[in-house]
Amino acid sequence: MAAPLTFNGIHSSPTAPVDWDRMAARARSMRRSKAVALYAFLIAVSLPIILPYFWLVTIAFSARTGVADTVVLWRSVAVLAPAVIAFWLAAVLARNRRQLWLGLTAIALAATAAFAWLVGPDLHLRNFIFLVEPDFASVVRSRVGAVHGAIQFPSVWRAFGNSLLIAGSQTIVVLTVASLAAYYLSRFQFPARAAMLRSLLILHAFPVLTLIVPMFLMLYWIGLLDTLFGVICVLVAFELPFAIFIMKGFFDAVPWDIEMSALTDGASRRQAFLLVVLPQVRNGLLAVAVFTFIRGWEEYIFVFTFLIRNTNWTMSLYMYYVRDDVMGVDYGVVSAVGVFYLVPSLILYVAAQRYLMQMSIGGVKG
Amino acid sequence: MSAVTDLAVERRYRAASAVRRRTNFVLFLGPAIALTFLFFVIPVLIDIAVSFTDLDRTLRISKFTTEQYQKVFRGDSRLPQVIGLTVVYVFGTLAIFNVTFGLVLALTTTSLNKVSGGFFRGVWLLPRMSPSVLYILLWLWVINPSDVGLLNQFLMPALGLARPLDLMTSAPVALIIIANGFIGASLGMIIFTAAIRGIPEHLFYAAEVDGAGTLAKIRFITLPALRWPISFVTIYQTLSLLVSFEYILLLTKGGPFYDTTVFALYVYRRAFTSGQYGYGAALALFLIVIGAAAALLGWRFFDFKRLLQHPRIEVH
Amino acid sequence: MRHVKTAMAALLLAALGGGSAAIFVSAPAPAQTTVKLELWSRQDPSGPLRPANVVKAADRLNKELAAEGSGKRVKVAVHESPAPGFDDDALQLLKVFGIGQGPDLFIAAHEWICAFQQEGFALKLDDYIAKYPQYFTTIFPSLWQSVKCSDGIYGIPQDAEARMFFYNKKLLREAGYDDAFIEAMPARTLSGELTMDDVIDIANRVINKAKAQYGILHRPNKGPDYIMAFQSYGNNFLDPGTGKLLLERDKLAAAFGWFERGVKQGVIPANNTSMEFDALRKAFYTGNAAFWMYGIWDLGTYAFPTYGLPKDEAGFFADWGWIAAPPAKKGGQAGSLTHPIIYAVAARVADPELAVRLLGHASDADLNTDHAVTTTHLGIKSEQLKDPRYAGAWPLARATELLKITKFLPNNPQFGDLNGIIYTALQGVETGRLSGQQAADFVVDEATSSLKDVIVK
Repeated sequence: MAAPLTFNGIHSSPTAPVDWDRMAARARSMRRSKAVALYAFLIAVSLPIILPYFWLVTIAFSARTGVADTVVLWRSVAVLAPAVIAFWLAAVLARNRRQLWLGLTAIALAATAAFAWLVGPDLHLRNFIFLVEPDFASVVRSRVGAVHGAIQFPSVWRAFGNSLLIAGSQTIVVLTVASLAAYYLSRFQFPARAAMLRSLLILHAFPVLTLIVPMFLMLYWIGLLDTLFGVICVLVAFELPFAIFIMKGFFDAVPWDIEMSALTDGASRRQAFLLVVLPQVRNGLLAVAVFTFIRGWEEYIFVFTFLIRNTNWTMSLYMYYVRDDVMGVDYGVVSAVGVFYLVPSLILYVAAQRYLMQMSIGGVKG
Repeated sequence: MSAVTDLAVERRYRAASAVRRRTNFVLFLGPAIALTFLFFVIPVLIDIAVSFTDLDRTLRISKFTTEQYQKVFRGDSRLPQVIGLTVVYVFGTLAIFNVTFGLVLALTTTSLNKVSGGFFRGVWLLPRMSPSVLYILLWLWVINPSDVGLLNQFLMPALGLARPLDLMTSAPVALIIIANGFIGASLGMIIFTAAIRGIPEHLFYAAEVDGAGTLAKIRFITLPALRWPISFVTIYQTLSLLVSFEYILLLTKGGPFYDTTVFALYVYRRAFTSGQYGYGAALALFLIVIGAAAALLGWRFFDFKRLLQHPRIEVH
Repeated sequence: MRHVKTAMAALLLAALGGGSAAIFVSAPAPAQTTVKLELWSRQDPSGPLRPANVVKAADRLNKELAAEGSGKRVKVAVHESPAPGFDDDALQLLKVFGIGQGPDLFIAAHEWICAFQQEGFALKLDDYIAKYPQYFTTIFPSLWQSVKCSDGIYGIPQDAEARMFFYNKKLLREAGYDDAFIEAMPARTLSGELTMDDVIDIANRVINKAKAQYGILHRPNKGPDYIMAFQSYGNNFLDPGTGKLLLERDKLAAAFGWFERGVKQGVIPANNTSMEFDALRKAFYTGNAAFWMYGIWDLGTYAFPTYGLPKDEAGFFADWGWIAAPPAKKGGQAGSLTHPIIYAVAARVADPELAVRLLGHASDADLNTDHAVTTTHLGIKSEQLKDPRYAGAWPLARATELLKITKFLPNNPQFGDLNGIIYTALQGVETGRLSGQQAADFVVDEATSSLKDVIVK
């Protein structure tokens, strides 16, 4: 006699007829309620993250008097939340593709119209004045007196350029040095190899922020304090072990045959590296490049500590001082600067999403 | 005659190969070694040296002394509080957010379909990917102690409060734990998601057939598979939480009073705000030692043999 | 061909000869050199004319130099620092000087000047001041006290002011106080009848009876104002005999105790030190707070232009007023605090005499009056009192009365750091982390471990 079958804990004796439809319906409803619970939970915990970023964007495009109000935020949410729910319902209820597209388009049109009617009139671009007017502080608010010849902030494009310089140089140097070193560590045998790999293990996890005090003194004694070059050097060195570690993982994954065939075809090891192996680890290069760039772009603590005279501004410093403005904080401008600062990070992040998941922390057990 | 020339050719070839080997070493590894030595080894030596001086704001060393260490062990009445706070902060953030919540997020997002799961994971990666100054700015606006702050807009009607909440003064430690937790949860989420994706599907089907509910599946299939990733995240995130203070510095500046000054931030305050570089170096040395020890501990997670994959080409 | 060449050579020689002869014959015009001086200034809405006056002074100096026949010209570049207060700015400037990148001239708060002097960053000015009496002899003698360090004068006073407790008469009336009481408050403070605790009681009644949220507000960052309260409790922080820093535990505890009582009664907000300056000003000037421990320049900088308080004397004193810092006990001495801002010269400046002359011109009576009148600061020279603009600015005249009882912060090189410690302890007391006595112990501990030569009683 077969053992009693159990589905989701429902015992059925082999003799009584099984009501498959009821069981299937119950299983379906349980699955649906589980999905609803999951979605509800995830939406609830993700809301504290989505809402402030959305608020930032709405203030950037709508604040008039320099005050951070939430009226526009709530109106936008009042339009977008039903739109999102409607989208989801359409996706669930639509029975074929045509219905789905019809439904989505209709909802999109309705949402846009509602948005334009409710929120549209409040939107303006005046908070982005800092992009064109370096002395936006005097334009945005009236000051008691004006200091001849002194502008409160440098042009934002200068800070943008400096940040780009720091992040860009850091990325290029790290990519070059890390791929060279990782390739050598991965593919060559030399006496100190094991020792170097061991020290790489320590270094890549070593907390670099602990070295900030001696780093400050060292830069001072070399004479590189208060220079962008000094900051770039420090950032490159601190990012290096982790980058080498990741790149080595990618190099280890490249099969040996490719190189062997290149060598038998007469290439030198260096040519094999450049022409044959490097293209294979393109994903790794991209991942490391994106991460290094984002880190350099957001770098605040080293820039804040090592740049003393405030003649070299970066976007992070610009953002910090605009936010902490002694002369009076204009929330509209601050949000606009925030949006401007955030956009490159966001673009890179979205583009690199795929590589994020692919990046293996090479060599991890389990 | 040809044997002699063959020998000569071979000798020349080997000599050239030796030269190439050396130049390859310098070319490939040289920059990395130089940078690492200059920016890791030398600062540690400098730190040890400076911790035995009285270096202060004038950046001039006048004497060598052990008074900084005397201060650490006897004279500093702030230190016990700072250390206690650091322990609470590190384990609180780790236990609540980095490991637990990261796990919860990984489990829940992998139970959804790929697109929705990816969307929620993307949202939770946003704090980590946005610049720190911006992220903290948003936090400051959310907890603003007036009607303008988003949190007060929610909680005042919800809890029926008469006066707006001021988290910065009434619950600063909770504040820094949550603010850092949002960032920390994302790393755990990624690692655990990758590990969960690596579990073969058939195990889940077999369990379902045997009557396992969701919780049982998690307990018996998912969690065992995550044993190594969880330990990995725990050790690494402990280290990272121990030494990072950037978000705390931006959010509360270590205040009010010394309430949110964790050890790393205490080093920073002593060195850069009060100008006591010698004392800061002495304190930092403890962090450096702990950091090195924890990094050494992380060895256990690495299959060293796999890392040491022996090269299969001997040519240079 | 050779002839052409010879002819060309001859022509060239003639031209050269003629030219050089012309040069030597004509009057020797002096070569013009531009001396660039960098001025470090803090972004400060209450003092935009401080650096601007130096820039204007450069024009005046250049005219003078031209009249003298000198070829030197001065050009001033202003470097604005975004520090939120003079204390943070001084710390930043010390760091900048420390790494050898200091400016040529700087504007600082007076109590920090001896820190610059001690580390050799500031220029000793006695000889230069003696050489150019026309700029400096008419400056009030008492102001020179604020720029003297152990071995001489290291700064030029730029302005003075008076600090007090502003109060909102309308709120007091709403709380049930009659006009006689309200109008008598300043006089009673000066005579020693109104004490610090009385101020807490008045504020308490205001927040209970009137529609005000706050009782007493003070500045949220490091600065001189709250030191007024410490001085009322007898803390002068300076040992007169040795010039070293002096800390008296029980007097410190008494002063912190006043803040502790204020917070416990809900009169001082617990998060005063983390509120924003704008929020604090708005709270007081829109009638949400009873007392505002701040200074006279806030009237010209914010109260009149931004919050529309009445600009005429009668209109102002109908609803607003101020009292000096009350004494701790009945019969004690009321006080006030004056915090002069000063101009100083860097020690390593290339042309010190030119720099001092420039600052001398920046201290001209008319330029100083511009600054004083637009931002309600007190002037530095006696002849300013005769300026009709100055005389017409009634806040200045009324504030001058407080100068009789005013004190300065001590000019000890370490006082700035001590103020930082006091501020941290104050934050601890107000947020409830420290009691008054614990705060005093904290200040003593920190001061003895991080500062040198502190006398503790």
